[in-house]
Parts: sequence; structure tokens; C-alpha cells
Amino acid sequence: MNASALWGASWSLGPGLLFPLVVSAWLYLRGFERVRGQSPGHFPPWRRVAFLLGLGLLFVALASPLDAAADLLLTAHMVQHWLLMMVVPPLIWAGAPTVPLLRGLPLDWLSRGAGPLLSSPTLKRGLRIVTHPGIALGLWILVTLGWHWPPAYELALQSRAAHDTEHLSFLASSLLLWFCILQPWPVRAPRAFGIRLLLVVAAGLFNTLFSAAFAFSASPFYAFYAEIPNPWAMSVMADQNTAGAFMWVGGSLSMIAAAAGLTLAALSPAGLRGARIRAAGKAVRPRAPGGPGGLQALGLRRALQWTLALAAGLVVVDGFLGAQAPSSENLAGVLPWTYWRALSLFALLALGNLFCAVCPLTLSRNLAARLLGRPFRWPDWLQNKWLSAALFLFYLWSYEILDLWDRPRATAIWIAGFFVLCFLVEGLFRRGTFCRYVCPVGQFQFVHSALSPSEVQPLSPAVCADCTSHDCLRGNAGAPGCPTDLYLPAKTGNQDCTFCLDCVRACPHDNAGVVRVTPGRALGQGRAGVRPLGPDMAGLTVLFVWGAFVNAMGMSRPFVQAQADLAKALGISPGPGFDSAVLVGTLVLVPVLALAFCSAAGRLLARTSVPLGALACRLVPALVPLGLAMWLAHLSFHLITGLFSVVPASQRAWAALTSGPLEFVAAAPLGTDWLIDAQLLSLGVGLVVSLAVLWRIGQEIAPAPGRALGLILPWSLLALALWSLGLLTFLSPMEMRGMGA
Amino acid sequence: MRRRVSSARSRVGRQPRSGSGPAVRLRGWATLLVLLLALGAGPGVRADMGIPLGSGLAGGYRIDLIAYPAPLRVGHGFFSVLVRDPGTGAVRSDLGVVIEVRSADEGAAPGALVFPAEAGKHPGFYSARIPLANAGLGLATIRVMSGSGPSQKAALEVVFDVLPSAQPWREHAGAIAFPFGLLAIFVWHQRRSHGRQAKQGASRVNGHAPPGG
Repeated sequence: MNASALWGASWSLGPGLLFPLVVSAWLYLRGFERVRGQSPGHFPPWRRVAFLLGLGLLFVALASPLDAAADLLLTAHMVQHWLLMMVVPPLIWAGAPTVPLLRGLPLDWLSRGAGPLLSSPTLKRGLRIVTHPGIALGLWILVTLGWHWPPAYELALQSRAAHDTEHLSFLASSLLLWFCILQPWPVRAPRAFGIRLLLVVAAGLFNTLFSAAFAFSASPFYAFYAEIPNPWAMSVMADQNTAGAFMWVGGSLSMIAAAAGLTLAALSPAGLRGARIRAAGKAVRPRAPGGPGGLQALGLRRALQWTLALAAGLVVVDGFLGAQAPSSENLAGVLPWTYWRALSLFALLALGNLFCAVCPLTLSRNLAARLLGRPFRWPDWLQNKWLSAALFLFYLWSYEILDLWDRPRATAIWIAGFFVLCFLVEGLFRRGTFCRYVCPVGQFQFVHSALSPSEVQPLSPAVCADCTSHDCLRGNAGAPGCPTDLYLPAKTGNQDCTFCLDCVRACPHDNAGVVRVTPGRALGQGRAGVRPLGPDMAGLTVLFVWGAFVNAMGMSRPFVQAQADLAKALGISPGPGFDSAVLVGTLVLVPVLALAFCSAAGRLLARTSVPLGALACRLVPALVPLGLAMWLAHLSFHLITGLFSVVPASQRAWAALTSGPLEFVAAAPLGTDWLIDAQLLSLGVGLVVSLAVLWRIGQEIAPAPGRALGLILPWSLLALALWSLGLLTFLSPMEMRGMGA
Repeated sequence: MRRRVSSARSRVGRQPRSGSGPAVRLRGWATLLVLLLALGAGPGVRADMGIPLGSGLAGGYRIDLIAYPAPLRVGHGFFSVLVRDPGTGAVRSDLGVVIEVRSADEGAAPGALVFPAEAGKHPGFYSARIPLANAGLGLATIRVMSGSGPSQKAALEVVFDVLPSAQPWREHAGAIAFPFGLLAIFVWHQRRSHGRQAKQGASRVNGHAPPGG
């Protein structure tokens, strides 16, 4: 087995490792730029290189073919451990990551989130204890010896959980040891040079003795390697002795490098001061707050809108004219259901309400106005969200009962119908009426964009206070004002904001822009000012939350079976009528009863006199994170399992268009073993954020902690019940609608 | 005024410090419990490579079969096959390998599922992901086909045991326990925040105490 064949073997690319590494690198780089501007002497560029190299080698140790080879050879396993214990930790500490990682966090998260935790005396005391040189060295030796004890070592080879724990403990104990040795900035009172050098010598001595035991051993320590065949035909003893020799040499090199580095640093204390002075002249200017401001360019927005309009056109044409079965080979069965739903959610969470920003429906807005003249006023009784809620209910009904996802022609009718409806509403009524009062997709985006990390906001409230023209609302010759009548200085959150950035373009003072905010901070507030939501918004929100669970539960066997059992118990033959009744009951009746109970019980426990309806309207938005997590987990499943489904669908559509032969290219399936865990983690995060928002709103209603807790207790139990339903859904066998029992 | 300030200070001083005493121990135990649940309640044995199921000579090759997880359970199993020349020990990665799996229980349906094995994660091994529908005894037949055609077939038969599937809540215990760990951190955070606010409030009162008794 040659080296290139080994290197070419598959890598273990899963989000469990990639995600924390990418987030750490991102936070570090973000924070590094900030602190470098303020303290350039402490952050020369090599620190960045060292930190990123450390993360890169961590990835190599745990995800490269080295990890695969470690299952077969002790030597490969020891190389992996050497990287984890002797190379990655010093590189990470060389990057002085504490301050950059913290400064990489959004300011609000740092001051209100991490701040109270990091100032905990318990935590500080604990850190003081474990970073004592003697304790750190002792822990490191104990962990090394403990995991190399044959029963523990073999357990790690046979159990993935134990193996992960082993690697985690190696990394953690080595980070502690190397922290004591390197004492990275901003350690206020670094240990004396002698103590640190002594630590290096002691660790090196232990490594020498430990490695020698392997290098000069005459009998195998681990039976596992004797049983498992290895393709290199290396004998167990040769492998064990080589592993010992490698640990000896590799470990000694690391320790020699550390000792040399420490000595050089101790001998040239003026070097750092000189570097500080030199680097001060090259301070990085702090950046202005940013955001997805590229969309401010109208040309880019129009280009994206036309691209989406073209995609929608292809979907409609293929939906009407293309093969109806299987739907997975029709663009109408793939693009909207597999891709668009999930990708718009990802964009919402990563940046903001991008789908509304580039929505192709509004392209025809001006043409409609010219043709139809906008002669009417939208009726007062429809100036709320009830119509959108009814349309969303209709969408869920057609999805569940008519198997919309499996019927390309019905999908095409839906999409074409949407374009026509938008054209008529925008042509007959005021600009923006469709977005604000009709479009259920827009409402879905509005409600969930409360969890987006950005908002369109005035950059300086003082400038708005002196403004008399209010162009952001009224518009001017250069750009129209807000289509949904949002007055920027009074705007709160993202409710009703289509991210069209018309207000930004219209502002004559250049005082509007996309700013970063803490996701979820506006949950529970209306679109302007700190006003609670009305019953229409609460109803719509409930529908989105319940819809998330009902939509996912519909493909889970226990729920399908429960519905069949219910029909049997009632003596009704299952069919569209019964299914529709169950669906509407689950989406409307059950939440109304649940929310009424929670409000009444919460009011009783909190001894408050707030009316039940107002209480429900105030607390319902707290369930949005849980609902969004459920949508995300469900729709991500479809996206990831069908990631390449566009290939056969577009090939078939192209072949139909050109009358050419079908030549399907088999796309490599993506490994999905991690998917259920990722879904459960997403749902768990949703639950915790919902509980946190409940707690925040509860304290706003009843400031005393005991009463706030009583108020939100029934709601928290409701959130837990929904989370449990989600667990049951994801852990149960799937049963796709329309596929039979 | 002096008396008021000092008594206020002593009151603050008497208050249990946030993050000390029985509450800390309780939080510590709760955190430890969550960690143990997350780590310990995971799958018992779930290695990457697995354990050897069998090995032997067949048609001029030495064939080793390794399966993961160990023990095999209803669900999916990863079967890895290493084919070597018995004389030289050289790994043969230029062959076609097929794994046939059938139930070896008495009275089971005679049909076998056939899976082509391809170069897998582990160097030199052919691997296949095989669904295991039922608990009981299974029989895997490894067929190795040389380049000269299907006539040059070598087959090795290995009997293995399949246990009932693990409860899914155990298999994903870490992900299920995750929000409770997160919740513990949130509760800790809130207690710290409230403690800090109370402390700041108390110091403000001390700093701006109104004159007079």
C-alpha cells in the first residue's frame, strides 16, 4: 500500500468537526482584525498563521486518511496523538486566541452573553486550579497513561464515543499543559521562565520514558492490532516499536522547539517591545459596520430577480409540459420543494430576508400599475394578516392532501397562480399591498426573519430626528419609499421588511443601511415600536409553528398510523375529507385549545391580570425559534438527501426540449449518517432559544422572577411537548405521503 | 449616613455570593450528569473499523472480513474486505468483490442480497454498506472475481450474528441531551446576570445614599 493510495482514501468530512473548526476560524479572523488595530504589537501576522495552521492540523489529525490508518496501525495512531498533543496545542496558543475569539463575537453577545459567564468566580477559580503547572502536568500524564492502558485503549478502538472522548481529553489536557508552558497573551503575570522550562523538561522526560516502553517492548500491548489485518503486512511488534520510536523522536522535537523558543524569548525581551513600536505604524483601521449591502445596488437585485423569474418560468413550463411521474425527474418536483424552501431558510438565518429581496413576483409591479392603474383601496377589513394565514393554511392543505410535492402540474399551477395574483393585487391596489397583506411566503419570511442577524435600520437616530422629508417612507425621484409603509426611525425588527432596500436608496442623508443585530431580539414586538402583536399576527405565527410540526409529522409512520387508527375508531373510512378535517383540527383547534390553556394556567400561576388574549399574543412569538428549527431540520433533510436531484431533473427537461437521448449521470450520494443528529441538534437549539425568549418576555410581563417563572411554566411545557413531537418524528421510520403503508 | 452605608455594605456582605455554596455544587453535579448522559448513554460499541468476522483462504486469495459496528445490529452494517496474495501478502485492489448476505436461521427465506464492495475509507479495503433487516444468524459470502472473468471466482463464507436494533433514543442520546446542557448554561448565565445586576444596584445605592437618617 503506497502513500499516494493511502492519501487518496476517503476523508471523513462531517459537520461535527467541520462546523466548530470553521466557526472558530471565522471568529478568530474577525476578532484578529479588530484587536490588531488596537494592539498591533501583540498580534503580528504570524500569530494568525499559527492559529490557522493549528486548526488545519487538527482537521488533518481527525478527518484525513491518517484517522483511517489509525484503525489499522499503532504507528498511525501515535502520529495522530502526536499531532493532537504536541503540535496543535502550541500552534493554537501561539495564535494568542483568547482575545480575538471573544472580540470576534458580536458585541452584544460578548457583553451580555459571554461576559457574565466569563466573570464567574467559580469558573475563574476552576481555571486557576487547572492551569497550575503541577496540576496541568499531572493531568496530562494521567490522561496519557490512562488512555494507553490496554483495556481503555482497546475500548477506544471499538467505540466511536470512547474514541472521541479519548481525543477530546488528549486535546484538552495538552491545551492546559501548553498554556502553562507558553503563557499566551493576555496572561497578566506569566510564570517564571524557570518554571516553564522545568515543565518542558518534565514533559519531555515523561515522553521519553513512555515512548521507550513502546520502542523496546518485546510483547504486543494491544491485542486488537494482532487481530485486525493491515494492508502493509507490518507485524504487530514492528508496528509497536516503530510507534514508540516515532513518539520518542516527534515528542522530543516538539519539546526541544518549545525550550528553544522559550529561551530565545527570555533572552531577547526587547524584541517584543521593538516589534510593538514597528507594527504601530501599520495599525489596521477599524471597519465600518457591514452587512449584505451589495443588494443595495439595484442592478444586482434586478439581475437576481430575473434569474429567479427564469427559474420559476422553467419550473412552470416543465411542470405543465414535462413528465409527471416520477416527480423527482421534473423541475417542478425538485427546484421548489427540495432546493428553494431550504435555501431561502439558510439565507434567512445567515444573512436576512434575501428571498423577499430578490422575489421575482414583484418584477411585474410597475407594469401592472401602468396597465391597471391601481384604482382601488385595499379594504379596511383585510388590512391584517388573516388572508395570508388562510392562504398558508390552503397551501398546507394542498401540500398534505393533494400531495403537491408529488404533482408537478399542481405545483406549476400554484406558482403561475401566485404570479397572476401578485400582478392583479399590485395593479389594482397600492404598491406593496401584496407583500404586506396577501403573500403567505412573504409572511413566512417576515415572521422568521426575527431570527436573522441583520436589519435595515437608521445608522444614526439623530439624523432621522432632524429629517423633515421622510423619503424612506414617501420616496423621491431617485427611489420609491417603503412598499409596506415602514417608517424607518420607528421600525422594530424585520416584520414586514422585504429587504428591498428602497428606503436605503431613497434616504437623502445616506443614513439607512443593513446593520447587524442579535437574532431574536425583536421577537414579541410589533413592526413599529415596542407594541405586542395583534391577534392576526399571533394566529399567523401559531400556524407557522404548528405547520412546521404537522408538515414533518405527515411523513412519520407513527403519526400516519395514528391517523388511520383514529379513522378506524370513529368508523370513518379514511379519505380526503377525513384527512382534511384532521389537518385543520390539528392546525387550528389544537393550538387554540393549547394556547388558551397555557395562557389561563400562566395567568393563574403568575397572579397577573393581563387579559388572556393579550397574554397569548405576547407569548406566542417565543415559539417561533422552535418552529423555525423544525422547518430547518425537516427541509434540510430533503435538501441534503436530494442534493443532486437537480441533475436528472434538468437532464430530462433538456432531453425533452432538444428531443435528445437521456444520459443520466449518476451523482455521488452524500453521506447522511450525521443527519439525524444534526436535525436533533437544530431542534434542541430551537427549544432553548424559545425557552430563553419566553423567559425574557415573561420577565417583561411579570418582573418578579418567581411570577415570571410561573407565567412561562405552562408555555415551557408546551415547547417541551412540541420538541418531543419533533424527536418522535425524526427518530421514527419515515413514511412518505402517497407511498402507501 | 455612615451607619446606613456600613449597614448596607454588611447586608451585601452577608448575602451569599453568586457562584458559591450548595448552589455551585448542585450546578456542578447537574453539569456532570448532563455530560455523563451525553457521553455515556451513547452507543455502546461503534467503531470505524469494527471487529474481524472471519478470515480464510479462498481461490488463491487470503480474505479477511471486518464488520462495523460491533456487534452488528438491525439497521446498517459496514462490511470491509481485505484481499491479499497468501504468499507475498500483497494487497489486491484490482479485483471485483461482491458481498452476498442471507439469513442463516432455519426457516428463513432463501433469497440473498448482493452488494458490490468498493474501495472504502480504510486503505486497501473494499467496503459495502449493507442493510440488516432481521435479528438472528446471518451468512455472508464474499465473492472475489479476478480480471480474467467470473469463472475465476473465489468465495469465502462467514456466519455472523445480528442483534436487535439499539433504541434510537440511545443511539442519539448525545444530541437529545444537548439542549439540556445548553439550558443549564443559560440558567447559569441568567443567575450570573441577575447577580451582577443586583450587585451593581447595591453599589449604586451605596454610592448615592441620601443624606440623613
